[in-house]
Amino acid sequence: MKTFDDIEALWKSTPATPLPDAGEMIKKALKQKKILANKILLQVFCLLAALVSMMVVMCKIEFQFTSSYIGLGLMMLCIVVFSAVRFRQSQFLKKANFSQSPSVLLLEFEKFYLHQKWVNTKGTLIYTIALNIAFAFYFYETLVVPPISIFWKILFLVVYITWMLIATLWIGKRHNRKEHARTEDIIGKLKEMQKSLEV
Amino acid sequence: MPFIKPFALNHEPAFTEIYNKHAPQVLRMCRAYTDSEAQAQDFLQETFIKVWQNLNNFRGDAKVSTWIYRIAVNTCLSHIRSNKNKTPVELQEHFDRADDNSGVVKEQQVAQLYKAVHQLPEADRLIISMVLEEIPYDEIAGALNISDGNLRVKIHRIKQELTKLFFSDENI
Repeated sequence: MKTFDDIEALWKSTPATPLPDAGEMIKKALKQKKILANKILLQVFCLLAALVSMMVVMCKIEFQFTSSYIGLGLMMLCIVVFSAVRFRQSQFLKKANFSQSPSVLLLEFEKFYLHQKWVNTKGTLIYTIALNIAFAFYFYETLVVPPISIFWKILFLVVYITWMLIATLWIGKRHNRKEHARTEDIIGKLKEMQKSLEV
Repeated sequence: MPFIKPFALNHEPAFTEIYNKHAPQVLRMCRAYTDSEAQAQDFLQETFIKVWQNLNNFRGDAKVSTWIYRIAVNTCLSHIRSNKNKTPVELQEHFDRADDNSGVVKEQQVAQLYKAVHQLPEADRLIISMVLEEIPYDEIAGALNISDGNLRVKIHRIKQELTKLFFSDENI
């Protein structure tokens, strides 16, 4: 007899795998929570450190041109907005409710994916432009006005542009591809589940 | 398990009770989903960490078991596929051990069964593992949010497919 009943009987005879202790599981859950909290604390600390150091630069150095202050202000704004957006994304991933039905979770991930794509394309473009404008304002006084030889000015510009291109076109794109692939994979599997349930 | 809210008052004992009761089933579900024992253990851990973190949010509008199975299904499905093509080492080890000892035919059959289950689409693996775990149909339907009728048709098809795969591969 070769029926599903045989399979069921075989499944029941599967030897029990030893399980980790419940207390161990609680410890891991608490540890994970602590790690996450520390990670957020570190991010907030880095953000504050960046902002404070810019404030120090603003207060300690007496710039002659308003453009320098505008540049630093814009940089701070870029950092704050960018950090807020990333924080919102990480909160979504942290708080995604896995106790919902796969179809509802799918809708949530699709919404997140649209947001993620916007952030990684148009959002990043706006961020890059704003940051470059900020640097342009800042460097007007520190680079354009002072009597530095044209060689050093060009060298600085080349280094700056190369760094920007590497950051946006290579590192940024690679990072975005990874992020998108992960979300697409989750959405793909949830969709597969949905499709599979359509009888 | 009966209605055990509010968890907030008695978080740890409630979790321990839930874990001891449902972890073996969830582990076998995860084991059916992935071909790696280590990954199945990871999925189990992820599932119960989410259970622990969300225990206070459980509203009691579904059975605790349904709620847990739903978390397990979503955890498995939302795991990245980076290890998808990994060689199923544990299964191979299973076979090797069975070959060494002719008395362990059952072990070989179990390995063969897992092999057949892993040939099913990912979603079907989770459904059939719940069926094999004898989880009531209304709970499976609740976890997947589909009608009982649809589920029955689906299960019928998966049973046929698994039976075909298992007995066609069977050389024991």
